[in-house]
Amino acid sequence: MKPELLAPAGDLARAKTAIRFGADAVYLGGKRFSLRSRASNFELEDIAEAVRFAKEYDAKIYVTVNMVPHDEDLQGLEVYLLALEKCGVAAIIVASLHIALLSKKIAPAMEVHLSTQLSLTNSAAIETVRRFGVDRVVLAREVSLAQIETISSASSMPLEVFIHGGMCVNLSGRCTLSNEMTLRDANRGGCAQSCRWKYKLYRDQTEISDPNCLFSMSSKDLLAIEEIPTLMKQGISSFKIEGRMKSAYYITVVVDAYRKLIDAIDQGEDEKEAIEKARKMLMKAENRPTSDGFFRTIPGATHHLYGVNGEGITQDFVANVIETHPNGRTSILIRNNLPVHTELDVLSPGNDVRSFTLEAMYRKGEAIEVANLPMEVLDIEIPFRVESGDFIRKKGS
Amino acid sequence: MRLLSILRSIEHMQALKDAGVDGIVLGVEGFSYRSPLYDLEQIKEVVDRAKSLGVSTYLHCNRMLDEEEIIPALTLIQTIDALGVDGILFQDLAYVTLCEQAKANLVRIYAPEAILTSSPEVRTMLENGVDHVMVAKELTLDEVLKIAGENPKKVGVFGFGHLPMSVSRRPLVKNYLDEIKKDRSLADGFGLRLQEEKRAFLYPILEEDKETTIFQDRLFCVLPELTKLQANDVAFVLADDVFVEEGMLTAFIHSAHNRMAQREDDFMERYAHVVTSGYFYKKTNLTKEGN
Repeated sequence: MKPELLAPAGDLARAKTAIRFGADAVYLGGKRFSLRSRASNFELEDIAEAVRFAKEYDAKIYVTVNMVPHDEDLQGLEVYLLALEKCGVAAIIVASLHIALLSKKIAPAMEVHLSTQLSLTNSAAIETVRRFGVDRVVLAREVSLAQIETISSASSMPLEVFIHGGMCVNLSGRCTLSNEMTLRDANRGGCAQSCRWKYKLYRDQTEISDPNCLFSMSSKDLLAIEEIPTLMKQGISSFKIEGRMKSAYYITVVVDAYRKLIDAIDQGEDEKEAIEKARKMLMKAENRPTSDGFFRTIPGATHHLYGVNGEGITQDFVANVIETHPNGRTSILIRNNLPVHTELDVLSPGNDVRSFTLEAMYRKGEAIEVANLPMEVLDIEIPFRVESGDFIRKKGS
Repeated sequence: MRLLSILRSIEHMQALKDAGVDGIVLGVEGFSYRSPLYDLEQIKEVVDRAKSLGVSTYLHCNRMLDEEEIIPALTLIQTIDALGVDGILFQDLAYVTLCEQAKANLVRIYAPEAILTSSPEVRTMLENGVDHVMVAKELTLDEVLKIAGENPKKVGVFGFGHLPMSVSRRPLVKNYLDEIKKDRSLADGFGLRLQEEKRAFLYPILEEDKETTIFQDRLFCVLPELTKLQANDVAFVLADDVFVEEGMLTAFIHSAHNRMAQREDDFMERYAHVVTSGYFYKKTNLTKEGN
């Protein structure tokens, strides 16, 4: 059976984008009880709308209820769980076994998925968590492909594995670097990513770090395209993309790439070709430098970022399609500087990338040479059919 | 309330007993990190000696188990149960299943170092295969007292030592030394410290076979709060001496024993300049916006 492709979304627009571009399920956070507090922008009515939209595509919505709560944080939890169930949410993702059991008891229509925050690395631990009503386990990122195979054989529990995105360098759920350095609790959504900061290293009171390349724990992002064929054979239920704080463009590129890769392998197409195609697509996303995580080896120096911190933010993404008019022109929402005569790609769900050259651009009917006001609506001519929400980027960058 | 201590060496047991310890905690080869490691023969010796002194023995099985370690872990449980070890402190929930499979008489102390942050969470674990818990290190004193009071004689706390802040399955120091082309052997031992480039604190960092742990720079010490912990039915306090100067651990146990018996002592006068109350009076629920 084909695994589910599970994508993140920080708001309703990104949830819809992920579903349009082929995610089988989307996970998102409500305004309470979720980690990634800055990526949790969903009111209950947004969640309900996401569920309604997802149903049109036969997709599911999961809601993260994955904070590790203190007593003071628990107020309103039962009401919230019942409201999520009423919205039609398919599952909640939790890091608390108390919340798992509670949800099962009062909102049984929702599945309970156990977060990677519990750092589960073996089948015996999975066996233990069954008693808490867990329906699926998100494995720790510290497991290898070989270990995943053994776990999958030893356990009938549906398993979910991260395949792309940011990685914690420390065991999830057990890190208090942020608590110590900023009084922000990583387990309650406040992680300051202190692991990505720069440190001097001393041995016996003598500095041994290189002043031009200070110590850091920062991890490269995970990129698992080479591992997808193996993971599919191992019967993993769900492939998870990290990134509720990522842009709509990032989500489009990443979801599209993995959707096409999974479908190609499922249909028996050449694996090497499919992987290379996915690799080329993913290079366009705004990733940090990437690695294969723990899949094949214990991470070495090449799995870390020393001296580099942020994502490779590009200016490739230039516009979204709004609508095509009877006169043949298409209104687009400008997102980056765009001069006329630029060669462009269009990303549409279910299609290969299509290209055209921007011959003309119009502001209220007047021809202009360059678009340089973000979020301005302009009209252009595209020589093929496009849909609302399609993404336009500079070609070949 | 019981006083538990990491056992740095078999020879140290008598001194700890004399100071007032109730239980000792030791690491076991292959299943522990951040603890002194003993093989099975040594564990037998420790157990026998501890029993003669009236002291309980616990193994610190704090490593997260890889799949291929499950069968060896089951064998370990069966073996230490037969040897007369009293209990285990563990992070990996696998040990709940393994102890049940082995029908072991071991006291099961779930000590994940974080995660256990609320009274319902603790209660859930106690009702599902766990005998005692150690609550999260980032709780305030009020939170600890509430949880302990609502789960009497079931909750333990870390009471003395450098609080571990993070643990990674990556060899963080060796990886960095490879990057800057320096000798990997510089990563060995207890001499390493990290200093964030904008802060003054020097965080001890310990790189072992499979784990790298970073610790708080100051020593956490619950002596000023000990009688409150005792009054609120905390079951035990655990002391650890990794990165601690020699003699301080025994001094802490001695002082704790005195305080519980309401005798005066001067530990805090002697060591006030190096100890801290950790998160007891410091909530860590700020957001990026500072709220």
